[in-house]
Amino acid sequence: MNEDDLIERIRADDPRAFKDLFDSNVSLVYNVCLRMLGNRQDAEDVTQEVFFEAYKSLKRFRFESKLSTWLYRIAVNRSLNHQRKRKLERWLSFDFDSLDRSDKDSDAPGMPENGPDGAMEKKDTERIVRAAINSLPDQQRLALLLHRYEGLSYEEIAKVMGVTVASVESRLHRAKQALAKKLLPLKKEL
Amino acid sequence: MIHEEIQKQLLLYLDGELPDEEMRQIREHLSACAVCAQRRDELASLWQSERRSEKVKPSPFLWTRLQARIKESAQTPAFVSDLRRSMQRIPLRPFPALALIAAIVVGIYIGTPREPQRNASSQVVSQSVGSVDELGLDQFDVIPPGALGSTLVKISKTQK
Repeated sequence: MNEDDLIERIRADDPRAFKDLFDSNVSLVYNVCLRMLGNRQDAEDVTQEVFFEAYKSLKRFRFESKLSTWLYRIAVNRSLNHQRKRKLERWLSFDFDSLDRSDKDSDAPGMPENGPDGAMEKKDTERIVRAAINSLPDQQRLALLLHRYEGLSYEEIAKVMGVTVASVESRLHRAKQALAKKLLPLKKEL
Repeated sequence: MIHEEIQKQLLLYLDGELPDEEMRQIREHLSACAVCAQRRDELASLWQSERRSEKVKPSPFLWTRLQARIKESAQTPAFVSDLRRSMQRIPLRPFPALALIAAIVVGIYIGTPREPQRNASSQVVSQSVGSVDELGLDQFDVIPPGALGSTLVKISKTQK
């Protein structure tokens, strides 16, 4: 669906427009949340939050950026908030074991089913890379996820994160340097 | 460049995200250094196998749940639905935290000296000391002169 048409319909208060906005962007928002949170249930809850917030503030949206960029931005902020809240809840309930469990038991995309050795090795590889990415600082991790898995350009990432393009470049640069250091010793585990 | 520095740049090298001059330097180093070349291959196998994977489909009920929430928010004031949701998000296991807080409070209570009681007891002591002073009971010699004890002391001193 053409985004310009959708924007026109939203402006004209077409009741079907929000459903179309949801249908064309739900997969994108859900997968970003899933990559950030590593858990399907949390990702669905946050996806619902994102669209609810979008519904409430759609009238205030000035259509200066793409709708998808705006939704990415809400998704990223909500996911970070959700993650902080979860960590706090686990600390409060003394659930220290699960504080870093998301790295291991993640539902994030790209997990093949158990099967032949090749699939198992691929699963291990993905687990290792994902755990290394999850151990990066939030801002570096976010820039890397949006660039590597969502295929966003530096400009789009800058808009989503509310920073300059130079800052995105620097975060990606530092993220990849840190990952190289983390991944090389881990390769020996395989 | 030393090996460690080269290896740190390998992911950026694999993604072609370094300036031309740096790319050339690393390429030359890799062609001459077997250890770094092996590291590059290891990293490439990890990094490139975990590439963009298929997107996961969300639950088909997500739209229904969202619709229900929108309807609910239209019927109830915003602060009521916000409060209800935040109540639902309270951690399910708050008891250990409450137990810790209670233990800290009790510990502080037990460990704090009781100021009023200590004052009261010190007052009693000072009053009794005062009464001794009034009677002159604190002003006496250890062995009063002329007593049998003083004679014994004198005898023992002369014997030494």
